[in-house]
Amino acid sequence: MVTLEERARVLLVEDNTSTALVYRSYMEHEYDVTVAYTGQEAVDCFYEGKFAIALIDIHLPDMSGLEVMKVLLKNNSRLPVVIMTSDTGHDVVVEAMKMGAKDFLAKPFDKARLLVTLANCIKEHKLETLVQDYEKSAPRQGLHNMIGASLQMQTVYQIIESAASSRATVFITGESGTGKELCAEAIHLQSNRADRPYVALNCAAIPRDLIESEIFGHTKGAFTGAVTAREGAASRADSGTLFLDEIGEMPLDLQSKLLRLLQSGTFQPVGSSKERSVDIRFICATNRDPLEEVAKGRFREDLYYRLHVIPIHMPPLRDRGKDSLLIASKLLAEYSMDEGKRFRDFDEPTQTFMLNYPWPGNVRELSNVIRNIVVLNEGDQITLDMLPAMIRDDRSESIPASQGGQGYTSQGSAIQTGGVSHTSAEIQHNDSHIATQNKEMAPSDIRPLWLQEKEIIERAIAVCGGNIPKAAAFLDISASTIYRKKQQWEASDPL
Amino acid sequence: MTTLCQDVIDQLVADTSQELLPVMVGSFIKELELKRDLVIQANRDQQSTSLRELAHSLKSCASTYGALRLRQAAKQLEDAAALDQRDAYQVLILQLQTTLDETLDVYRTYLDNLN
Repeated sequence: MVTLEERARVLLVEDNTSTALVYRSYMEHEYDVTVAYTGQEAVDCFYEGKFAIALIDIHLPDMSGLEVMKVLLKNNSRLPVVIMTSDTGHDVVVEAMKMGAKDFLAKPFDKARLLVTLANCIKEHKLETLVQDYEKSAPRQGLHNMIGASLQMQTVYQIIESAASSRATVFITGESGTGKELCAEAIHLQSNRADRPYVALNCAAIPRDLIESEIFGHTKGAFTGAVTAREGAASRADSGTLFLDEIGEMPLDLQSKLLRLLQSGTFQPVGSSKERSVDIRFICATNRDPLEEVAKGRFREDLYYRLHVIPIHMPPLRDRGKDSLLIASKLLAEYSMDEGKRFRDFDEPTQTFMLNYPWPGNVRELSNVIRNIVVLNEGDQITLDMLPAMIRDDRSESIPASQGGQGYTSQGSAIQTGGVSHTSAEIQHNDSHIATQNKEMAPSDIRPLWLQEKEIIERAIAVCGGNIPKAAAFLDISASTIYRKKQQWEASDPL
Repeated sequence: MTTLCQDVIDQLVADTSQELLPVMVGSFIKELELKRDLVIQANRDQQSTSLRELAHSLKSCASTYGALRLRQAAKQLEDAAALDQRDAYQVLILQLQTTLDETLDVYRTYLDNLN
């Protein structure tokens, strides 16, 4: 038996006296129950007492149970509310849950169902309170260039601090856009190698043929085009830190050479017979599941175990509580200054949206959205209508990509990437299109990168009706970059 | 379909107590008496919204106390009101009133036996 002092207070809002009597009887051994028979009575009771939970019938004689819930949550947003209904339709339940109800009970229900529901909601509420209290007691807002005060990020910071002074290899996993590179930087800056070189290499961004010489360097004449000797990332990172991003993309033959470097601290530049010794702290990252890659034979098992000494998982933004607001605020200040705008903060509906939107592209997507808003709008405060239409429309359907963490949904629905929307179907189409193009292309078809860039930028400006800031937002670059490039093109144009 | 479902009553007793049963059944009877008057009043005043709300409320408490025939009659009226099937109203209201009276008789007798 629970003592009177320990009993949580329940506000039961039920207009049927005989039904209220039954529900009260169900609960009275465990809870201190106050019954309200009308909506107004419920609101009055709420103001008079401190309740642990409210149990509200949807149909009340003077107002809807949803309205009562709205008033209660407005005054105490953390109050767990359970809705009771004998309606068979789901619409009202969905609406109630969207408005903030923790759970619902379909009438009629028995004592066991009611008590389990109450116990679960109260337990969840206590845990939420604990987490919030913990976050208040450890309110670190960030570490080096990382931003975030959530419990998940406090854990990441703790691992970084513990691991930083060691030479042990760190393996960072997490969806695309979660900040794996910032995490690697933070480890380096926190370590006693902070004043030594930090070299970052994205294995996915380097052509397969060049990746070996990018890491190990090459001697003069080692291969066609190697007109001079060149130091690789391993040499440049000597006594410092080497960050290998997208390690899952590294070809298998090169994985064995990397394993040797990890084991012996020695390597041979391409074309050289001399071994070089280096002292490197390795950090690597992938957005794939490394064990799955091992199982599929795409990643060497021995290399995996050599690298996977200190694992750090970067949590997706949707699991980081109020971090989305914290990051958005810092980005808003930064981008407003960049673009010469006056934006100070976000209005409440926009904040609510940002907290509830799943951010499938994580911080990268958030950054793009804020840049897009700042460039395309004017004012002091960000309002809901300034959000790109794509994320406003798709917010309820957006499902984070669970594998690969790409910035698009698993069901092909569109999301914003760099201010431009794509669907997974489009991306797949583009990939196959590019592959076909590659097969059909001759070397003479290859045009200079600057020219292709010029064409892309000019096309974007034309599509945006000559609006350069708008085009810049969609290209995910600053407007000043376009203006600078235009000047360069004009200066080099003989006409 | 039964007017009084003993299984539901047995579950109520299991979830509360045998001692509380007469109090609960008494409360249910009072509620039905009150709602019957309100149904008559709402019908007389042609208040279709009130009738729908009353039907919903009756459906809910009838479910809790195992008055399954009453639950069925209330649900039919609620559904007709929701679909605005005015031609079916009068028949369903009469049916509800008749079922209400029968249910009251059965529960009063049940309460007498409990006492």
